[in-house]
Amino acid sequence: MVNLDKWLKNRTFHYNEFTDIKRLVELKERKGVTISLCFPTLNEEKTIGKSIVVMKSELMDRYPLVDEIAVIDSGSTDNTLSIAKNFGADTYLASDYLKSEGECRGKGENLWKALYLLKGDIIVYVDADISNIHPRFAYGLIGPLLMEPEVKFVKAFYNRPFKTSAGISPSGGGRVTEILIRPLFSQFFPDLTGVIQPLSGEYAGYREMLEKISFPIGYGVETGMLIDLYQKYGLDSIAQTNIDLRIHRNQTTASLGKMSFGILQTFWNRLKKYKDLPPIAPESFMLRQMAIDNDDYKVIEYDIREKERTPMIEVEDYLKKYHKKKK
Amino acid sequence: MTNSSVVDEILQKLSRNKEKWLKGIESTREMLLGNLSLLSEFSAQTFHEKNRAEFILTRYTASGIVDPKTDRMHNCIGICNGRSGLRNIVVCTHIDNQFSMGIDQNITITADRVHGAGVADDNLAIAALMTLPDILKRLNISLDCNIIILGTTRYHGRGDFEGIRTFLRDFPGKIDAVINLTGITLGTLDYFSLSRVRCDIHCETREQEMESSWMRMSESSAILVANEVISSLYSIPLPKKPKTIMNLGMISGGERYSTISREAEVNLEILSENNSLMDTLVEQIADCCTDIGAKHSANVNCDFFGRHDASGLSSAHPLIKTALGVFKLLGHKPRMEYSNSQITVSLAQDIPSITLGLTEGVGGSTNRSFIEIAPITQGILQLVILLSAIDQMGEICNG
Repeated sequence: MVNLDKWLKNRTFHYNEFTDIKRLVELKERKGVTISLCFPTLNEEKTIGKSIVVMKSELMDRYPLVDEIAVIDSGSTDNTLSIAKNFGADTYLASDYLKSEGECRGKGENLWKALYLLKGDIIVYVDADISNIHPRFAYGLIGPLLMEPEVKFVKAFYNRPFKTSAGISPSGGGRVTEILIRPLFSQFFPDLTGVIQPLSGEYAGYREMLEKISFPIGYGVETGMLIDLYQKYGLDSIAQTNIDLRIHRNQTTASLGKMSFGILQTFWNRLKKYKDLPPIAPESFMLRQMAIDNDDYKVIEYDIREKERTPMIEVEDYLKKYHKKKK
Repeated sequence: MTNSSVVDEILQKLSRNKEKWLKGIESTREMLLGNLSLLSEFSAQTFHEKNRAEFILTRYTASGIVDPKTDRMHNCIGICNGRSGLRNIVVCTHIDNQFSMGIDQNITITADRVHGAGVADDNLAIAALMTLPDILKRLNISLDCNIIILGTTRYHGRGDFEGIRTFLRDFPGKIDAVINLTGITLGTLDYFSLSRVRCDIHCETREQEMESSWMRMSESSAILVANEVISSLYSIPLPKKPKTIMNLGMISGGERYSTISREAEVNLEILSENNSLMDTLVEQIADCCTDIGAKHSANVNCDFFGRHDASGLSSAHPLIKTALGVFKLLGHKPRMEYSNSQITVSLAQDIPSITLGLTEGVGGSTNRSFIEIAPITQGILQLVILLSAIDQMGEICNG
C-alpha cells in the first residue's frame, strides 16, 4: 500500500490554486494540447442553459482554455438539447453515433462516446445538474493536469449540501460513498480510500488514458474508471481537487439503492479482473425494493444490468478517426 | 447650429454602426448571461453588500479595468479611461436587493428567458455594468471621456440611496452625466423625480403580557390601532393639483392567532409634485399618530425618512433629446415616468441624469420574476449609442 498521507498531501488540490486562468491557457499552449468539456445529459433543461453560458463565457470567450463544449444526451424529452445549442454548445444524441457497436443507454455510454465525438487531448466531464455551476468546476480539474506532469486524471470533491423542501441542508450527500464504496475500497483497494468523493460526477483526464479503459454504461462508471486507472497507471497518476460547494438535487434512498446495486456489479467485475479471489457474480440482476401503500406491502422489482463498453481504443471507427494519422 | 441639429447629425453618423455593433453585442450574450449567473450566487441585502461588491470587483478586473476599488460604502467603482478624460460619465445601477441570505437567488436560463428572484430588478443591470468594458472593447469603441462604472450600495429602504450620495460627495472631479440602468423595461426613460418622503409608523400597546383575547374581552390590540391609523391617514385630503399621493406599501404585526397583538407597523410613501406641500402632510400625519396613541393608550411613533425634493430635466434638455433620438433610431417606444431611483440624488445636484431599461420581463421578489433574453441586445445597443453620442456632443450635453 502506498503512503496515503503522502499521496493526500501531494495530490490533493484546491481550485483556488488554479484561478489564474491566463496562466493555464499559456501552459496549455506550451504543451500543445486541446481541451474538450463534456456535459452528459438526460432531461436537464433547468440547469443546462446556465452551465453552458457560464463555461462558454469564462473558459472560451474570455480565456481560450476550453476548445469545445459539447452536450452528449441520452434521449431527453425536454428542451435540454435545443437550449444547449442555442447557447453555443455542440450537441449530440448518443444513440446516433457508433451504431455498429450496438445500442446502450446511460451516463457511462455518453462519457464513452465523448471520446469518439470530441476532439480534445484532455476531456473534462461535468454533470449538468449543478445549480451553482461555476468555471472552477472545470479549471479546478484542468489545473493539475496542466501543472503536474505525472497527473493524468483528476477527480473533484466538495461539500455537498442538498436541496430539500426545507431549503438547503448544510451537510450531507455522499451516502453511497460512505456506506458502500469506502468500506469496499478499504477491503480490496485500500489505496483508493484517500479519494474523498470517488462518485463525484466531475473529473478530467487525458484521452490517452481514458481510451484504454472500459466504461460501465450506468451507475458503475465512476467506480470502474477509478479502479481501472489506478490498476493501470498507479495512484500517483490520480489527483483530486476541492471545488468547495456543489448544490445539486438530492436523491431518494430508493434511488441510491439502485445506484448501489449497479455499482456492486461493476465492483465484482473488477475483483474478478484484478484480484486472485474466487469469482463473485450476482445470481440475479433484479433489485427488489419494498414499498408500503396504505396497508399494502409491495415488492417493486427493477432489472438493473450494468453493461460495460470495451476500451474505446478497441473500436475500429475510433481507431480510424484518431489513430490513423499516427500509424 | 442648434442643439437639436447637432444631436441629429451625431446620431445620423452613429446609425451607420448600428448593424455592426448589434452583431458585436450579440457575440457578448454569453458573457453577459455568464456574469448574471455568477452574480446571482452572491446575496446582497441592503447594508450587507460587501461579498457581492468584492465579487463585482473581480469581474471589473477580468474585463480589463485597471485598479477598480470599493469605497467606505462598498460602492464598486471602475474607470474606463477616456482619451482625454476631460469629462466623466457615470453608468450605474444599485447592487443591493431586499432578499435575505436564505432566499434562493439561483437563476434558470431557458432558450428565451432567465428566471429567478431579482433577475429583473436589477441583477441584469449589474451584469450589463460588469460586461460593459468587454462590450466596448469588442466593438472597438474608444471614447474621449471617462466612463465610470459604478455599482452602488444602500439603495433600498433605509439605505435611502446612501451609496450614490457618498460616491457623488467623495468623487474628486466633476460628473457630467449619470446613466442609471434598470433591468426592466426596455424603453424606460426617467429623467425627473417627485418630492418624496417615507414613513414607518410603529404602534405598540402598553400591555406587558400577552393574554388570550377571550379572557381580556375587549381591549385594543396594536393591529386595531394600526387600522385606525390607516383610516385616519386616508381621511387627510390630498390635492389633485399639484398631484399628491399616499401609498400604503407594507403592513405587519401580531404574533399568534390566539393572542392580542402588542406591536404593528405601517410603512408608507408620499409623493408630490410640490415640495412645500410635504411639510404640511408630515405635520398632519404626526398629529394623527399622536391623537390615536392617546386615545388607545398606545405608543404610536412615526419616523419620517428618505425625504427628497422634486427635481429633474425637461424634455428640451440635450441629454433627453439625445436619448429620445436613440430610441427613435432603434424603434423603441419611450416610456417616460417619474423616477423613484437613485438619479433622484444626482438630479438634485443638477447633474443631467436618466434611467434606462434593458429588456422586457416581470420583476418582483419571487422566482416568478423573469427577463426576456432577446431584447437585451437592443437594450445594450441603446446604451452604447447613447454613450457614444454624449461623448461626441461634448459640453453641449450638459445643457
